[in-house]
Amino acid sequence: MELVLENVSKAYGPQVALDNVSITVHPGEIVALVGPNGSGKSTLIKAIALIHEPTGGTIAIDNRDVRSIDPVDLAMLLGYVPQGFSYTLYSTVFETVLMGRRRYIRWSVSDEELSRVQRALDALEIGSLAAKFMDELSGGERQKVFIARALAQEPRIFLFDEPTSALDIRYQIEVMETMRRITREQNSSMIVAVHDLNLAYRYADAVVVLNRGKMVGYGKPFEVLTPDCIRSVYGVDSFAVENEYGKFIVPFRARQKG
Amino acid sequence: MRFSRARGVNQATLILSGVVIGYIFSAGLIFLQYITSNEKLRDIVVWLMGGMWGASWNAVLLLIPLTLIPFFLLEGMAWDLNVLSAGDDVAKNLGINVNRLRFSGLMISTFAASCCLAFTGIIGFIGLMGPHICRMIIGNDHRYLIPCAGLMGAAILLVSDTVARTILSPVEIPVGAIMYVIGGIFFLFLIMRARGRGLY
Repeated sequence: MELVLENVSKAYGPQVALDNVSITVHPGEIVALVGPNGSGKSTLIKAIALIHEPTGGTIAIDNRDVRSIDPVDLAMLLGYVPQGFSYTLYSTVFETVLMGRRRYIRWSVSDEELSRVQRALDALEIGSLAAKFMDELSGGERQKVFIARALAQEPRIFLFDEPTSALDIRYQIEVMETMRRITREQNSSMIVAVHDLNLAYRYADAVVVLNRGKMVGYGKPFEVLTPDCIRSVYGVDSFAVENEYGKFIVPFRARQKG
Repeated sequence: MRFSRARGVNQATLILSGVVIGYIFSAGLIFLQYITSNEKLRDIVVWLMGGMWGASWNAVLLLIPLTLIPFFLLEGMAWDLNVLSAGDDVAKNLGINVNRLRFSGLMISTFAASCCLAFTGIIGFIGLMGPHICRMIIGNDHRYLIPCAGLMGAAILLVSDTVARTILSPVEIPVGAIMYVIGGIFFLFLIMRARGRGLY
């Protein structure tokens, strides 16, 4: 499904958090959102999911304005993974992931639903944790559970708000590899806010650079995330290296302010 | 509830707001007690203590529809309530109208509780203890949690009422007083346990 954002803006009172962002996400594509803290990455993701409705512009999925789509149908199209942690003490991992199937459950849970939840758990290799309670997990395991919940939702477009920030480097790579495989297999797309620029380099088909709510760069990772761009957005000096494993960006020094 | 929706409100603010609202309503009670006649005053005081003196089969017959209808309405919300425990943002993404769910859930449960309290007076803490104990035993699935919490509440009331009738027999002390003691201890236990888990 094609997701088109046109001049999307979001203001909280007089404070503008997002200013005229226009992007197009094609099926099978991974789009990375990068930018410093408070640059509007989360706001953009929440605006697309209509968690915090945008105050200007239009968001359309296959030429249909998302605001005209029934929330129940929209829940089957968009799968959101939050940045913050919210869970109950008395829920197991399996129950938490099962919530992703809410739209397909009326009262009792069919075997079909159970097997889909199990598949989502297995995709992230956390099947063995199914019976554990949420407060028995490490931060990284918990984050994987939330990603599994979005997988169980089986949406066409994944919206991830820094899904790997609580994960160690092995988990980060595993999760991104898994998501890339799934988006390719299902021809679904993914918008993901990341802090690690190399994750954007390696896994993203396009990068959106945000700074103070404005889109200051949009295009292929290598073309957009240049040392010049990183200097102006983050105030950090960096250099790009290329070797047999690919292209990497190495930030190494914060520039003096003023 | 209005406060629970406001952004960036922490638990301490929430609890303090509860205390303050409690004071505002007790001002209304004090006013009623002040202007009322002597005989009525005794009724009010007895109602405030809470007890099963008003229990009669007529009251039970009246309460059956007034509690069963809200019960089925709440059961109908069970899955949405389950999802709400994943947090407001995720619940919205899963197609749930979070504000409407919260508002209607609160209205329905308040209605059912008020109907019962009209006959018994104020018996505190049952609504806190029942659901908490059940959540520990059977988990967070509201399809089972709602009926279990109701049954657990009934069991707690039955035990406390029996204690109230027998402890100073033949004098019957108000069940509300017993509940404040049991409930207070339970509340402290919850706080200590939460501290132990590092939740505060």
